Amino acid sequence: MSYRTILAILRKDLLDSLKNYQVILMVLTPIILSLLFTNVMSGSKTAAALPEIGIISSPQQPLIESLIEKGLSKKITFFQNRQDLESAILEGKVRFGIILPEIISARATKNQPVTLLYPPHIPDFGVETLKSVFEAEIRSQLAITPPPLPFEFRVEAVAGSTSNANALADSMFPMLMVMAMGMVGFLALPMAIVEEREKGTLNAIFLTPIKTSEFITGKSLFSLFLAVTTTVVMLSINQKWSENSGYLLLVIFCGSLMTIFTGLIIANFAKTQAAVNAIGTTLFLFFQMVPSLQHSSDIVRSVAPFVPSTYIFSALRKAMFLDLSKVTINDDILIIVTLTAVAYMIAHGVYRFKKADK
Amino acid sequence: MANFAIEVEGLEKAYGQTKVVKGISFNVQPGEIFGFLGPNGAGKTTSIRMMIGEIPFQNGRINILGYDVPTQLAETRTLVGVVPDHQNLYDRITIRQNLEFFAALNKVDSSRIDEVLSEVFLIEHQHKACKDLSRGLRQRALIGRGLLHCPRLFFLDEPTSALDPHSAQLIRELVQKLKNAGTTVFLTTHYMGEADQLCDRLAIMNLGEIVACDSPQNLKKNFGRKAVIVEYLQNETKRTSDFSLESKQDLASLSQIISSGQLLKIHSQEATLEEVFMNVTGARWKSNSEEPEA
Repeated sequence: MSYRTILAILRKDLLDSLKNYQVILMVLTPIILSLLFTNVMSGSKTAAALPEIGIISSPQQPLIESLIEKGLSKKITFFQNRQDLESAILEGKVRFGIILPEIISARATKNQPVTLLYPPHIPDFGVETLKSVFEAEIRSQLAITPPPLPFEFRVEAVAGSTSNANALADSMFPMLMVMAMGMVGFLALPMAIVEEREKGTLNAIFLTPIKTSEFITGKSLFSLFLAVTTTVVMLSINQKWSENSGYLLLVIFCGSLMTIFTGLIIANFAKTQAAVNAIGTTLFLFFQMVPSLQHSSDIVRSVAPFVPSTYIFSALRKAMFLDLSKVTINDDILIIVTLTAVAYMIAHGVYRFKKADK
Repeated sequence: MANFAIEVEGLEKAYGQTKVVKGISFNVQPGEIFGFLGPNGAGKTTSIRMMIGEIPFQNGRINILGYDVPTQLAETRTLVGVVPDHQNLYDRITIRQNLEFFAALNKVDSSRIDEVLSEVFLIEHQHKACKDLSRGLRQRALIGRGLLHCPRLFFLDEPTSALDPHSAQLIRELVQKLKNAGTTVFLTTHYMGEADQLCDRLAIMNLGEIVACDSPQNLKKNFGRKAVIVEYLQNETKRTSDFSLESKQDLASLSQIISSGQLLKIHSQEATLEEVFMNVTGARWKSNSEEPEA
């Protein structure tokens, strides 16, 4: 493999893209959106959807029986100890946790406390809403009137690496990072290749003694540079670097490569820029929307494990906001690396079988 | 095999049921300028694309400088230069940046870029973006790109198409220089004067077949119109007419002028390549005007 050839492709693409407003727009859009979400939406308040809840309690606890009778059994998962519950919250398997004593009595003066656990990136209003729902349930169950409650209601954030001061913006940030990677991989790269095919410059490239691996590497390097630069700028100007920056960079690197190799495959099959728009935009929307909306419905949740960006999103969230001694990021990274390798092999096979200029 | 720069035998290409190249055979000697003429849709560009390995073919054999196409395509890549019929430069970057890019892809030393820029007279324009150049300058840049790796065989597909006379003449001079330097040139053109001026031999293609292949002189001799221009007196008035030597009526009239002593001057009229082209392609082309573009 000739490094001079690869670097020549990288340099030419860089020079060319500096004068291509489409590429500049695609790079700037996620950066601008990240600023918008961080600075404009940080104080907004919207109603939270009723989430999945992890509970440490006996199923015979009257309050739990009451919730199950109301058809909420699918929303409840029981845990044996607090450590398991906290891990499930941090992994995103449940959104909140409740620790309930066996018996809550309206007349008792020394009931054990009720504890509500929540992940650090959940906004205050979400916690308050859930707390209110539970308080109301308990009051209804015990038939007691407003304050005071006959027990202590504790609200505790599960340990994360950041505070929840800017929680809504933080929860959106991984989505914006995935968006930046998807834009470069699914749209900018295949559009650039198809533009070259339409103008005939790809023919000229493939009339030289270039090898398939040199072409793929050269094209990928430039897109990788774009995706990594965009995400690094986003992290820097929004001050989102965490103590897990090494993991963060690894996820950005592998996630970007995965989208880039997929983009190369798209470019080989899509004959026109319109076709790239159609295929690339569809994949891009799935790639971006499914992981960020996976808690919105059972259907999306069941689809999410089959969408590679779910693991990128999860790994980014963990690396940015969670304490990695309490959650495992390695499983996500292993899946991302494996999927990236598979995407490369498919791209290489496709380009060997059918050169992009045809 | 290596005695020829190009050897093509029984080459066929079909798109679906439509045969666009119908078993053509020809060869090109090393160091000659070989013209490839024909009307639009005759199959010229398709034939070139098969020869440079851009598209596959169904039947036949192509040998380029001793290497079989497509099985030894990698070897031919370093020996063949191509200027396509469309100007496929990177528009947003400069001529020099275009050449630097392709020099790297062809594994050619960067010092060759200055030589090429000088050869195609683009030194003063090298830092201009290609989109800001005239068609003539862009065409010279394309030729420069094709020459970067000093090819032994150079394919030029309609290099002077839509150029002003000055630019076209400059391109012709460049082609002649290449021949003088020993490069074999395979040239397609629609300009008969250009083909006549530059080419050592020509093949005329029509409807996927080669209908004539020889030197321009022999083609004119064999396929050109045979006529004489005659100056004579008629009713004491001087007249000039041309008489076809292939028309019985013209020959009878000419005979009468000579025998009546009215003849003042007579000289042969040289056939043009355009006449040859029309003769060998015209009638058949008109009768098959529905034929698709190749």
